[in-house]
Amino acid sequence: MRILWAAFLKEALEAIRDRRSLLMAMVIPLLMPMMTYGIVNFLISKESTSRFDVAVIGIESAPGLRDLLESSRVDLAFLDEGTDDIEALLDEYDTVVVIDANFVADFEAMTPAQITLWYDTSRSTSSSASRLVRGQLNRIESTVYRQRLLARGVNSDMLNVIDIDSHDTAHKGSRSAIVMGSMPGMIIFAAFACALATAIDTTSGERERLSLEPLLMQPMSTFTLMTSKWLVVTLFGWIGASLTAVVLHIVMSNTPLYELGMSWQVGAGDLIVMTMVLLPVAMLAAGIMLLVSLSAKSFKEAQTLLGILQIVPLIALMAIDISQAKVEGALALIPLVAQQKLIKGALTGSYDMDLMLLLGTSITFALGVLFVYAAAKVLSRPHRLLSN
Amino acid sequence: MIEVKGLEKSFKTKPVLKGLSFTVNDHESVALLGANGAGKTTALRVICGLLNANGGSVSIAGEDSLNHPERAQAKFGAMGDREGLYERLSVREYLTYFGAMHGLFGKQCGEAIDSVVEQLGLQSLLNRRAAGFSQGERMKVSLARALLHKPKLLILDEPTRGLDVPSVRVLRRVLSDYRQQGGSILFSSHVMQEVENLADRILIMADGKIVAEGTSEELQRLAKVDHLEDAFVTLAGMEVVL
Repeated sequence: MRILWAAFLKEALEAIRDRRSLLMAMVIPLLMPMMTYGIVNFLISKESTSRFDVAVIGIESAPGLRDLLESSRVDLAFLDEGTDDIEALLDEYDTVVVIDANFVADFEAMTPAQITLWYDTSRSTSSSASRLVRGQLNRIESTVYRQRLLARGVNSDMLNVIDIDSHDTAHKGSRSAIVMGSMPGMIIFAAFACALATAIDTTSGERERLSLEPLLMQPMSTFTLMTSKWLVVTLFGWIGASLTAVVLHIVMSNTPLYELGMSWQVGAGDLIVMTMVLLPVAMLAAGIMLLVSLSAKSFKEAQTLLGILQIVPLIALMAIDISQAKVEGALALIPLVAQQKLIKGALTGSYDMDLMLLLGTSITFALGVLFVYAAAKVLSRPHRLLSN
Repeated sequence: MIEVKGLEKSFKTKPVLKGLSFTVNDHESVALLGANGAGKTTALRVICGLLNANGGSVSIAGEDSLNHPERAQAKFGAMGDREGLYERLSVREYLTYFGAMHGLFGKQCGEAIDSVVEQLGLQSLLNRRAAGFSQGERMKVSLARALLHKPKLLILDEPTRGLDVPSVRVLRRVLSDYRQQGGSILFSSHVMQEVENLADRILIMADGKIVAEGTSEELQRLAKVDHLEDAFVTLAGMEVVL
């Protein structure tokens, strides 16, 4: 045990003094939450500035429409008849509404009165504005035809074949979970990314610097040696991922999510739960990265392989999230999946540790140990690792 | 101290050691002399437990080095031909780490470090990190590591390789002191002067086995030449064992 402690101290000292390792462990926890902050703020700014400019030509042909077209999200500009260059107008306005000169006459004659909508689907604001105006016009049309039927003694309700009664049960917390669905994957990714440089330095780096050979001539078991490296790499991944969660919490707590109809309900207790959940994640990440890096033929190969490896769980977890698969039963036993669910629960204040999730967490941890054992086995047959 | 019997080692299908056998007695210094590719480094790596053997046996101070390398590794200190240090660790931190592997902790380790640092004149480097050390300084630190736990046997693979004259003189003095204190040495070298100065007995290795052995004078007599180098050249191409 004293040998393991001494080896751990040496590995920790080396890793802390390695600028690349430190940089990776510090930059990721700042970068990822800042990226999320940027995306959320973009959504907020988009939401708050979603008023549309709509030009109306020919309102003098249908003055009654002036008030009916008014909406809280539309700024109307009434232009004179005879404005021909509609395409030029679309550069300035999101949508152009052209009312036909015979609108009133057609309306009174109960023949379809002509209104033309001009918009540009290559611009999202133009599409949204046209949808909004079309909806407004549909409501006007619906009101008029109901009035016309009623005037002729026909109950307009008979036209309603289905009465749809919809209820949006999404509360603020669950809505935020949908938007923040990518966050567990991001935090788990941080456990890999923050440990990557340390994992490479302590294995491939050690071999490249020719310091592995004297180490393997000492009376210390390769399992003890690998365990010391594993603990340090785990520590970097764990601290990095936990820091990512904490920075994310600070950033999101200071983001006006209410403007998106959401709230950030994560407390100190939830952060502690997340930190605990991240420990086996960091152990697995460290174990597999050490094994892959040790098996790589060179430092560069290790960098390439681990660069790919760190993205794999992120993609897999995102796929599970996008598919909205229910994490229960055997699915919870897949490494990292249980942790993703638990972190998601902690973010929305609704986590439940059931037996399958507990088993899934145990499997993640056990797999980490298994990888360390495999790496120790690789070290115990060092002929492939040593320089000629 | 070391007993090597019928050692065999192949890399894929290429045999490198072909029934290598020799002994190193207590308090004896033995040089392994051979051309490039003769199998010296492979032999030392197998003896040190870095490589598995395909056959034969290696006993170090009574411990089976092939089946229980950790037990045997506790009995000797070793220095490879191209060793890297931990550039982000100071010499004291480096030696503390390796001391722990030999059961040296706390005050006991501190005393061992002080002793070996004094022996090698490493005082000015003790608290410096190894980044930027010269080849000679690196050799001294590696030798300090090998001597730290006061082993009865030193195994050195081409210890003077890449060293300047002052560093070679330091190495020679330290190894000479070590021998006077009763230590055994097994080393490989290309430098005849080094071999003549340090070795009680010389093993000439060619094609994976010992082809001649004896003192420098015995080898010259056998080859009927006046210099060890000539003897080596002659004997390395012969299938004669003294």
